Amino acid sequence: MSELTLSAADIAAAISKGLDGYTPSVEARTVGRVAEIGDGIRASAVCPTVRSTSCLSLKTAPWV
Amino acid sequence: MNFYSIIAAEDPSLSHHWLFPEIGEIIYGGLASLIIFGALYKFGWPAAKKGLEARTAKIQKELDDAAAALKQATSDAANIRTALGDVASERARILAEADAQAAAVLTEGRARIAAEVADMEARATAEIEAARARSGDELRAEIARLSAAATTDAVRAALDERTQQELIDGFIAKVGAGR
Amino acid sequence: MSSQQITAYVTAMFEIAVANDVLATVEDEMFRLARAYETNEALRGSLGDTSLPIERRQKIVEQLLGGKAHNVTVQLASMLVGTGHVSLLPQVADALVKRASSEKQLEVAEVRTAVALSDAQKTRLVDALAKATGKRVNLKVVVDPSVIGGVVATVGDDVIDDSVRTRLDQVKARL
Repeated sequence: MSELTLSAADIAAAISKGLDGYTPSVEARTVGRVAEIGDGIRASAVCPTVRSTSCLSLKTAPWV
Repeated sequence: MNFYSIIAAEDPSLSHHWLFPEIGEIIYGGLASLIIFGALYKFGWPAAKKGLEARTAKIQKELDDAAAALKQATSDAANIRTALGDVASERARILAEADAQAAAVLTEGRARIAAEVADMEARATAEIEAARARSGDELRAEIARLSAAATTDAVRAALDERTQQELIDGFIAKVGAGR
Repeated sequence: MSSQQITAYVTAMFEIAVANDVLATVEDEMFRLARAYETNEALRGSLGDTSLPIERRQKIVEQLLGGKAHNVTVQLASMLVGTGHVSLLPQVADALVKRASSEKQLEVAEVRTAVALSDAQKTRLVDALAKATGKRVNLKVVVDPSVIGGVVATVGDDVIDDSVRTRLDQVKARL
């Protein structure tokens, strides 16, 4: 029995024929997105180039 | 109508000197004055004297009080001055202590900072050395990888169809021979 | 990807192929399809694209295999796409080959070469491997350029690696 050979060209042709006339419809799809919550960034005691928000969190520490 | 003129009118024959009073008046007047003066002196003078003395005493007392107060104030001032002196010395002592402490902290801080700087320098030197070594290793690895890739490509190019077949046939023969 | 699922698919495909008396054909064609799926990113991407309708993806399979492979193979492959488990194709195909081979008391011999083998070479190879391993083998030859030259033969758990790639690696290791 002759072996089944599937060359890259065969595959590409099959895909294009399979998708012939296919127009993706615009459907409403829910896109999940993970909202990153940046939290708990403990700035070191010397904060030379830390963002102002981080320094601010130090000031509002509840140890007063 | 002439009632007053009647009373007021004197006997024109008894008009006296315009300045000096009559003898009788002088005597009566003088006696009355003497009596009054006597009574005054007898009864009034002691009281007046007492009053004067009392006033004198009062004034004297006030002077004494003032003197005493002055003395007290002077001694108080002296006390305060001594107290101030103490306070001043106390303040000086505290300041001196603070200065000493500050100096100690400063030297300690300087020493610590010097130590930290030395430590950082040492670490930095070590890191630089490590980086140098690593880059050397990395370079060598890069060179090896590149040469390996080049070798692979060279070998691949060198393997023509015939060589490939030879390799395969050789494999089959090897395996078939029982290795 | 549970092994239970794979076993289920393998059993189903095996029974269907046997029932149609095309086991050898189907297992070989599934093997070929699986190798193509593994190596071709476009095929992997399009068959696994869930945003594409299932009919479209099955049409790709039919276009690819239609006329070349046996109808049973086409149907079985389409089934795997239709159930959304096309990602299991390599494992299912390998298990199917193994099952079919053990049925015939054959050991699966996967041979990778840089260039295609002639039929004569394949026959000789089967004999050589039988001599070397003492087992009758179901030969599956795969053209794999990464071998560079020579042959890598995996028979059951044994590997005979006589590839140029490995020889080059050994040289590189000593660099």
